[in-house]
Amino acid sequence: MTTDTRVNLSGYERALSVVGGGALMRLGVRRGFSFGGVIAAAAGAGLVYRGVTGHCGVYERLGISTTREAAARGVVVRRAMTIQRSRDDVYRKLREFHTMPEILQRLTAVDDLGGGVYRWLYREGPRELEVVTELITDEPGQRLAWVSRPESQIRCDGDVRLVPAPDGRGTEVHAEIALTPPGGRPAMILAPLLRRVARYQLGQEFHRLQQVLETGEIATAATRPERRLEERAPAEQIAAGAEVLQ
Amino acid sequence: MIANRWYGVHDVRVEHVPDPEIVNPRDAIVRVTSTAICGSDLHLYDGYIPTMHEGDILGHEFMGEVVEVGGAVTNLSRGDRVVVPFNIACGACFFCAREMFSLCENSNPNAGITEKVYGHACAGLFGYSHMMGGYAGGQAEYVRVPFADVGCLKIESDLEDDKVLFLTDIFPTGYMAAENCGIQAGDVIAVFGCGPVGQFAIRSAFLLGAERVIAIDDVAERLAMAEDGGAEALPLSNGYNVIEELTELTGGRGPDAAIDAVGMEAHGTGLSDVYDRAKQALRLQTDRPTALRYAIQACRKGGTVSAPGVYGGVIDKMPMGAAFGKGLTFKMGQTHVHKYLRPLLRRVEQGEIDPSFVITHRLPLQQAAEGYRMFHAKQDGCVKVVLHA
Repeated sequence: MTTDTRVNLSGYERALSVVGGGALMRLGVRRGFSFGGVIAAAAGAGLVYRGVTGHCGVYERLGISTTREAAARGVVVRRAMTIQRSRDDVYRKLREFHTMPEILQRLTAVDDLGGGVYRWLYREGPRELEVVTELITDEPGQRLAWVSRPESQIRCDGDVRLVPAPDGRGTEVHAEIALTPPGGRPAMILAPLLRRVARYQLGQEFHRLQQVLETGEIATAATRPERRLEERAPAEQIAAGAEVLQ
Repeated sequence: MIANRWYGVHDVRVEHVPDPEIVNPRDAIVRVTSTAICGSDLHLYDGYIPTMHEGDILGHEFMGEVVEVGGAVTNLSRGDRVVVPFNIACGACFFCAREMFSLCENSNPNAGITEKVYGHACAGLFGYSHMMGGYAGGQAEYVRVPFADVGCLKIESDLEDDKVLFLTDIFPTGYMAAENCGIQAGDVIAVFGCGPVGQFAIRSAFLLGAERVIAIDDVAERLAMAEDGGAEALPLSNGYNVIEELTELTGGRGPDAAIDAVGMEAHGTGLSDVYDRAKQALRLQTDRPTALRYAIQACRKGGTVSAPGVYGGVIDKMPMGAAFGKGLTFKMGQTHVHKYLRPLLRRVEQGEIDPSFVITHRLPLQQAAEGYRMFHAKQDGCVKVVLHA
């Protein structure tokens, strides 16, 4: 069926939509030709249609899909940045996994478990989060790709490609990260929000990578060394302030 | 130390805060000897720049003495007398390498926020909101200066502070505005706004070979200062058609280039000003572009509109049809101060210009709040306030 590609609802949600919509239609019809009755019947019909076709227009607008395939893909975030360094320099820095805590916010430690397997420890408030990754592609100066092992608390697969920028303008770093939030398929409804947050965070991390590679240090507005970390925190708050201009 | 801190609309306070320390290897700590209040500080004072937090230290025009340097700074040492550009630049990125220092890729720790609003981030600035990096500013006794090896310009002559302080911002800003006009022999330049940047734009236009400069403002003493600089004064008053007047003064051609040295808080006249103020108050537009509209309307066909005045967000009723129809060129942006430091210092040393002409008031740093109040109200002929720490 050609409509298959448009399906963005899980089987459960389709069933729920048909049953709920049917009930609403019944309620509407019983009320006869009153205003509320017509509205209820129409809304019910809409829900039934949504369930039968498996396609929700609102979800489509928001970029949400709760199908099994979408959940397997996860939330995919892409980000590219050009850095004024050779591909080898960028690769070398990226490959120094043990130095990543200075670049990746909230990453506290990276353990080398051997055989291309690494354990990444993140701290999110009082919570610790563990991701175990396995390097599947390691082409010096060109590409790094990894997948998360099942014991990881969230799935975070990644693919980073290094491409020379035109006319000797450094190296283009193209990253694609696939995240699967804990909470399974129902949590996919939060995908647009997660994508936004992840894209912002990935951007900030890229900026810090660029700063280290191009200037040898990470920019900070802190006025004293001990305030360096705490002054990173209010980024979300600042972002909210900046919305005024949009 | 004491520092001037922002607390909200028309609320700045001089308070005690901890001294800054070296954080990164390319930092320096500068003990401030002179600092100034900039016209763009008034946009913060009026609350039009978002992402300000209570307690933020203001100020981006400052100079002083190096008291400490980080391990990677080899071209400065304790005791050096330096001026510090208002924007922070790494000196190594794509933009710095092309002398576009105000577009530095690596000096804004909050680049992500600016990217959300502007698409791409600009350089970090001292004391100018968290969107611009959240750096503590120079209206203080001490400042942490990041990338000090690139930013600090040593003053080795005995020129007093008053003559070199404005290399940090308004002199290069006025100069770049004039340079952006691409001045050719015989050119007539219109300068909208005779605040400090406008004053330097006027003098710079002459340094760059302008035939005539026409200065437009509604404050008498500012026009008088513009006339001292060689400009012809065109007073802006209610019911007066500035566009018509400019056309007449230029033999019907219009000025070859028009400089908007006003920016986002222009004072207009008549109904369109009421409309702009209402929309700004309702946040339907963030900036009031009266001077920019005038500049577009007045500029001759094929001419250039150069905008050193600061804009922050969105504007309304931009006469794009006039700009397109007349084939205008637009040049704008934060000043690439680093690029102009040495050439302009040379002009000061050679006596081509004495930038201290613009100073009308001097106060101790402790009285910063009074300085802001006076400058904002344009009281007592106030054009430029210098604070001594």
